[in-house]
Order: sequence, then structure tokens, then C-alpha cells
Amino acid sequence: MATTNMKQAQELLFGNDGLAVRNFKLFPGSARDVTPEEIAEEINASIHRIESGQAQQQEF
Amino acid sequence: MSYAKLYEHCQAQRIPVGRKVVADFLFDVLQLPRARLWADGLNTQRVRGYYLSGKNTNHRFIQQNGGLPVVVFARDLDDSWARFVIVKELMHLFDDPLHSLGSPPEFDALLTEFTSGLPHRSAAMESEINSFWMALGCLCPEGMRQEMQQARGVTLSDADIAAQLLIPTQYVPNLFTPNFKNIISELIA
Repeated sequence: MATTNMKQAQELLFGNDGLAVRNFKLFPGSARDVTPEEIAEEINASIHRIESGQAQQQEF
Repeated sequence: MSYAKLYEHCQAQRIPVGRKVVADFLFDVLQLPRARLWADGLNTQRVRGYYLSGKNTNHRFIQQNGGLPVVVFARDLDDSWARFVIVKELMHLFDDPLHSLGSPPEFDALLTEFTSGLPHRSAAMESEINSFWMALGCLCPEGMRQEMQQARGVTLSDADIAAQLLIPTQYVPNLFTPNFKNIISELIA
């Protein structure tokens, strides 16, 4: 059975080979009908984009 | 509490209060960890931004960010939204262990709370709500807020206020909720 986005995000954030996250917080998007699976999908993809150089580091 | 010091510092600022002003105070004065900031292709309908602090130094992402906390915002946000998202996420540098989210069930619960509007409020969600008000408190000095309150609907529209403060228009009504001062008072107590 395919791993869900939620399980992938949980593994990425908190799993033994993951980030060992101590604190995670979120600013949700504009859609009222977004699901936890969709949010988890976004987080997974975002972290992977940052790792692979597809995001831009900024100054505050 | 350290947020009280940040709030006091922001009271003396001219509007729009710069996100760098907030960040510099957090890092240089309060000596909080110097977070890294990323602009990413997040779908703003789903997620506008997030904050995370991780400790596995064997993981590329953690190494890439020097083991520091990370704030990520959606690249497609306009300046007002980006500022607010960034400042709100920076407020999580103040989170204590009780309000920190660090396990799979807590992650599931927070995402469920955001998407279902369940009445139960986890400790993590409580910190999300607090950080929202903390960000508003930083970005609108109280003296200016009271002036704007007098002018609101008379000479200033909500869009005017948002433009002056450089915050999203949809959050302007929150600045003028009757219990705004009580909310801030509790946060700086």
C-alpha cells in the first residue's frame, strides 16, 4: 500500500532518519477545503525543494 | 518574558515596522537562534509558510541550515503577506517545550485542527494563535493603532490601514477587536 503524504511527512520530520524536529509550526493557506494530506504533501515537497537547491535563501 | 521586550522595542518603531527590525532584535538583543529564511514554491492555497527546528545533524536539510531554526514562506506571496507570515513564524522562537510540536501525533492533530475547525485546542494550536497576535502586536505600535482606530471608517479604510502597516487587509479587523489590548497584555505579562 502506498505511503500517505501524512506518513511521509511524519517520517521526514520525526523519523529516525528524518530531521528530528523539536518544533514545527504552520501558516495555513487560503483554501477552506484543504486537507491534512494536502498540507503534508506541501511540506514534504518544500523540504525536498530546499534540499535540492530549488528554493532561495533570503535575508530577513 | 522575552516577547515583552520585543513588543516594547516595536512600540518605538515607525510604520511599517520592518521585518529586519524584528529579526535583528530577536537575534542580536534577545540572543535567540539566528533562523534561516527561505522563499519556496509553496502552493499558497494550501500553505503560506512554516517554521521548523530540527536536530538531526546527519540529515542534509539540517546541515544545510547549520542546525538553526528555519522559516519558509511562499515565494508567490505579496510583500504584506510575506512580512506577516515571516514575523508570525519568527514568534515561534519563543515557544516553550509545552507548546512545541515534536511528534507524529501532534503533527497530525495540528493539521487536523487547522482543516476541520475542531473546538479542541492543542498546546501547539494555542501557540499558533498566540504567535498570530504577537505578530500583530509587533507590526502595529499601540499608539498608531489607537490613532488608526479613531480614523477607521472615517478617513481611513481597512485597505488604507493595511497599506500603511504593510499587513494583509484581512487581518486589519483583528487589530480593532475590543479585547485586543487584553490579548496583548496577557502575551507580555
